[in-house]
Formats: sequence, C-alpha cells, structure tokens
Amino acid sequence: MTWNGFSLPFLAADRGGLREELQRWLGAAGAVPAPGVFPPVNIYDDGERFLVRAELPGIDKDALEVTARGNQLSIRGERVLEPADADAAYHRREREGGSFRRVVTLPQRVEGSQVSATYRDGVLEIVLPRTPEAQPRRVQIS
Amino acid sequence: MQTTTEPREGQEMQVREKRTAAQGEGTRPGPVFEPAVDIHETEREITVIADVPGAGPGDVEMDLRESVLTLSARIRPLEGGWRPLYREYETGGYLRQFRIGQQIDQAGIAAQLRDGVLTVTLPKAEHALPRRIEVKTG
Repeated sequence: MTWNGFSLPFLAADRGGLREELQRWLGAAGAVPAPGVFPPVNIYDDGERFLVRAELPGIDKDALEVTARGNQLSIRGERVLEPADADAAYHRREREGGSFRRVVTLPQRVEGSQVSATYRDGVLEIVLPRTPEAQPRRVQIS
Repeated sequence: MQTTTEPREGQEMQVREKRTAAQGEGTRPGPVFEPAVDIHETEREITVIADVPGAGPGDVEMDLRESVLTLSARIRPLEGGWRPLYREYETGGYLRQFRIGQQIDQAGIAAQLRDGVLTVTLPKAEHALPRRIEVKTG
C-alpha cells in the first residue's frame, strides 16, 4: 500500500489487526452470530412492496425469527433433522440441519410494523411495504 | 477472507447449489432439480426423505416400477404482480430416481408431505423374507 510514494506497511498491518481485534471483541460480546449467506433469497417488487422468498424446508415455524428495521431484514432460525431409528442404516445423507442467520439489505426503507411473513410448503415469504417516503411518486410538471 | 470465529453450538447451515436433474421430463417447462435426500433402512422398511420446498400436496408424484422409485414434484408459479428484483436461487420442479434392491410391499407404501419435506416409507414385502420350503417325500 502506498500513499504519496510512501509505503505504509504499518497502517496495512494495523488495519488487519484492528479487524481481528473487532472480530474477537464481537465474538466475546455476543451470542449473536455473524450474519451468513444462508438461506439464499429471491427478492421481488410490485411497486409498493418487496417480497423476499427463501426455501427452508422442514423448519419449525416457531423457530423462525424475522425482523425488519430501516432497509434491513433479518432472518434467523434453526433446522433440526429428525434422527432415524437407532437400528436404521443410512444409505444416503444429503440433507443438513443447523442454525442460520441472514441479513438482507433492501433497496429502500420499509415499514417495519407492516411487515408480514408466511411459511408454507417449506417456503418463507416476507412482504415488506416501503415507507411512504420511499413510495414512487409522480411529479407534477408545471 | 478467512476469519476465525468462536466455536458455536450446533452447525451453521451452508448454501448448496441446486443440482439439475439428469433426466428432465420434457413435458413441463422450466428447470428440474434433484432434491437432497436421506435414505435409511431398517429390517422392516426403507425410508426416503426428500426436500421439495414449494411443492404442495397435489404437486408430488411417486412411482415404483421395476425396482425403480421415481419421485417428482412441480412447484406453482408465483402469483401476483411481482417483478423479480434480485435472484440468488433458481426455482423449478424436482425429479429423482432410485433403484430399490429389495422387494417392496407396493400396497403398504406410505407418503407424507409436510413443510416441503416428502417422506416415503417403503415396507419390505413379506414374501421377500427367507421362507422355509417343505420338502415332501413320496
């Protein structure tokens, strides 16, 4: 890294150190895991609202936590797989369980109190109305 | 960038790319994927569990013919005036086939679909179990 021809290795090193320090501090502070990339989401728009969809088969609805604030949507949950009988032998084991936390940034702010979510056939659907200020408005031309 | 994190309880879920089914049906438009499955077996039955998110009770078809179990499902298109804005995963039907190396009691096959998880129970046929054959003299 160079700045005005001077090399600034100390700054580069410090940046890395700072990041690690921050990570350590955050890790120690919280039960809140860092947001990951699961579940993948698809986002749709109908002009007034956003629709966020995620495929989450076999999840206990009560173990899902959806929160929206500003333009951020957070999806948290856990998938628990039912174990087979003790005497059963597995031929294939491709399905996975575990916990997840995803934060999705929307293009505009949404009305947090108006957000609704449904879980059907293993698909989570969250409808988020834009705030009135974020609604598209037709501009009068004088 | 790799970062070290504190070990947590349980496993964190990972994104898995969907696998396109090798043999599409052709009669339905859109992509067809292979659902992730668990298969386990006890003395009495074989259980197949498949993740088919988006498929409802009327959307699943099953077939056991010549020892090949075929599971297929379709998903319904999204209704309403939704325009796609951002896409991280593809949606489509499901198709997967398995060779079942056991005699199955066809009449006893049971299937349950719940929250996008299909569980198929295939009881082993009674006549497939070893039987003692009486040897007559005469």
